[in-house]
Amino acid sequence: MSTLKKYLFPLIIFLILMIAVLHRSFNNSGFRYDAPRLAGKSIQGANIITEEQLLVPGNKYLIVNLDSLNTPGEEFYNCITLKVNPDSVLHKKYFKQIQRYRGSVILSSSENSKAARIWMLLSQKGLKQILILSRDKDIEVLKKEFRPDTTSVPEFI
Amino acid sequence: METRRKITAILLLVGSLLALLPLTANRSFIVKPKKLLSDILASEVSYTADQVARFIVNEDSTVRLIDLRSPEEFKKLNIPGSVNVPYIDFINSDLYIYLNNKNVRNIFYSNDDFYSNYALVYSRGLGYRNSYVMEGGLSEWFDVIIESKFTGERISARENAIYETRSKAAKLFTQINSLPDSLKAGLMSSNKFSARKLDGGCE
Repeated sequence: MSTLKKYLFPLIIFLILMIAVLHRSFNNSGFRYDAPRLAGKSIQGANIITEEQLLVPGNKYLIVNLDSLNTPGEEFYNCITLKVNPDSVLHKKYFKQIQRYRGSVILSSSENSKAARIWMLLSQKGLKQILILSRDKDIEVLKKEFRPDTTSVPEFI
Repeated sequence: METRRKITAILLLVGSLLALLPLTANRSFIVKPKKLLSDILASEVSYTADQVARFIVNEDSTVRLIDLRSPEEFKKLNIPGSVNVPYIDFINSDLYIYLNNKNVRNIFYSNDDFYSNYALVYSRGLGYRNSYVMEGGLSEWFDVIIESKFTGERISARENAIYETRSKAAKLFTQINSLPDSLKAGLMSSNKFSARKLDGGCE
């Protein structure tokens, strides 16, 4: 007891520091640790699925349609479709449904930007089986051709 | 002797607790999920190709364009004044190197909408609120700026201003990307990110 009394002050300081360190380390605002690892799939495009791949018989998916609730969603054979306004994707009702689905969850939107943003958010929340439905096989490929003009140079050169 | 044992036991306990702490804690999203969601869905986080063209033509120093494509693609073609940070490097390195200047709006672009929008959420999630995206990427830039043509009979003053900006931006884009590789490399090296110099010292 006397030893405890002797070291009480440094112990209190130490405990406060310890709590601060633990709080800083584990307070991740509801996101998982290691953001680069969770974003890893997006680097090689492993998080993209095409319509052809989707229509392969035997595969079951949960399609999350992110387009406006008033527009008709695309119905795919053998897939359950869930219409979610992007603003509500974190609402308990939808989030639990996505989280609990056993299989791949596919984000579908007419705007790739919207699907990409929601994908990154859900991945950082720790959801692993999330894919983006792409109408195009070749993503991030520039299909435009540049015609150089060698007759003029910028003024500052 | 008894006290020493107690201190040793405490230190061992602390050591093991610290060893269990996640090493990557500083590389996890820090913004609240709902706040981040409303941020990334707001229209203010994206700029159109026309707005970016205006920044370039006006040489706006508060804007920095970050090209997330590969170095080969960047070398072949890029928007004037942009800096190349391949997406893989962007994800795997400390974003402080690229996004530390709070007075600058960092606008991401890639060929399409994917990499740039991933980068937008990733950087905003890590607390860099000065992150934005150019809608549609380079494909949209080509459609709106490079291949822009007015087909009507009368043009309003506003439309005229837009087309003038587009024309200037397209001219600059074509001129710079038509330069020989040696000259282009010189221009690009001046746009690279470099370690911050120490303040002070003698001249």
